[in-house]
Amino acid sequence: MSKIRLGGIKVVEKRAYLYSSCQRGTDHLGNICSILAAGRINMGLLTHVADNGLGESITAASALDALRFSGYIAEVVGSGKCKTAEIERDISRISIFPHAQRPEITASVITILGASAIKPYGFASSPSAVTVIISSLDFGIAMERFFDSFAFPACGSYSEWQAVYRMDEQQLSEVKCSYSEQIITIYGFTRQTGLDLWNVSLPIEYMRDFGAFLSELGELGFKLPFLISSSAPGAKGIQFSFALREDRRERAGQALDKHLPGRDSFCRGPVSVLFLHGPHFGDRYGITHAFVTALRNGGIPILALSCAVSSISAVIAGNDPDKAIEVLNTRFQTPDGTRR
Amino acid sequence: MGKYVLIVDDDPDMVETVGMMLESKGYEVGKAYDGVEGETSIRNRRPDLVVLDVMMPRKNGYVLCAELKKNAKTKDIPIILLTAVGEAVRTTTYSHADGKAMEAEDYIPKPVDPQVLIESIERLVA
Repeated sequence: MSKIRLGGIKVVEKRAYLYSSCQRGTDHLGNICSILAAGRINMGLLTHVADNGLGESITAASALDALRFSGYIAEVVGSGKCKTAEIERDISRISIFPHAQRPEITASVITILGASAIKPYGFASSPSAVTVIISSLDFGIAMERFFDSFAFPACGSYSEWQAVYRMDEQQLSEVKCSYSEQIITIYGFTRQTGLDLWNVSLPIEYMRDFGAFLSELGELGFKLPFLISSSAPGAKGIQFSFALREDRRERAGQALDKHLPGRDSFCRGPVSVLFLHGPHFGDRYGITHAFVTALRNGGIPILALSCAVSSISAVIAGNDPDKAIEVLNTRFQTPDGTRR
Repeated sequence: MGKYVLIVDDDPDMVETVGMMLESKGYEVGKAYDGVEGETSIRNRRPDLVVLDVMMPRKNGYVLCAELKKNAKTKDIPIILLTAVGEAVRTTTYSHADGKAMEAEDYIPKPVDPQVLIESIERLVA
């Protein structure tokens, strides 16, 4: 079988992962972002769905170590604010790119993990990459399988990757930036409208069927601009949230019924996806907090969110994201060229 | 066919953003995700211009820029270095000043102003 050619693979190892679920309507996302921003904690990844179709709001985040989440855990555990708050202390994040919104790329990742009996704690998409979170214990085998299935121009095998990239860790760790902007400078916003937001809950053993569903969407010409998933570290189920074209809802539903008959699914539309493009999202604490706060103050609910690589992707209701961009412009600016 | 611009940056979202921007202006875009890959890509197909990030694994942008400028076959390829913004970045190994010291045809601070980048590319490939 021929390999799928991609641009590259990025890895972040030895991180912690927080999974938490609350009753729908709780400002769970705002709480997490606020605590992390107040602690000046860089957050490499965050996903959120406001309503998974089962009355729950789910937020998951990854940061350098579990201590980073201690403030949040201390606040919610025992207070009744949260139904679940679990931490996995040693995860790795693997991002492959570019996905070019092709569902079959994400499908391949899901299928590879399913075939290797590797449980993903979560997925997050950015405009260019799909990121998967797995236990560090599964890291080596996952990387082997990814190199078996994908062709990357920089490295032909996992062992080659180990030799080249691990050596660079010291160098890269020395190249750290800390930003001190009052108004955060970004590359800009892009948008995609006319979408549905789908939520699907399934047992982990059905993950490969979900992969087959995404593969079929790829064959049908669907684009996948947004996908997240999360799973509690001890749970045997996983929930996916993703965006597809609203005018092909029926066809998507047929494909879902074919591969996952009888599974819980929930679809709402129309929705839009807003993309905030970097830079250095992972190096700049408080960006997600500024993003979430701006939209909340502007009365615009976030239906789902993915922060990964160097971008934020947010799903909001309706087909007119102009108001959302307007309120975001109160906290973010694009460069005007005058600093050159 | 438009001019061929190679973007070399280890941030895939950045490559995607700039790539979309250039394609919308009629440029043909090549993408490489680190310095070594950028070097290989240039060997395989000579670009009309290179947009080169500084902080990258395997081979950083300064090293690649210096190598390209030393090589008789590639020294004429215009290079735009994307450098860190001095006043916004307090601690970084590389700075905007380092960019100025290079032989690149232009240097633009990150985050990139799309209009500034387009104007620079248009000027250099004209």
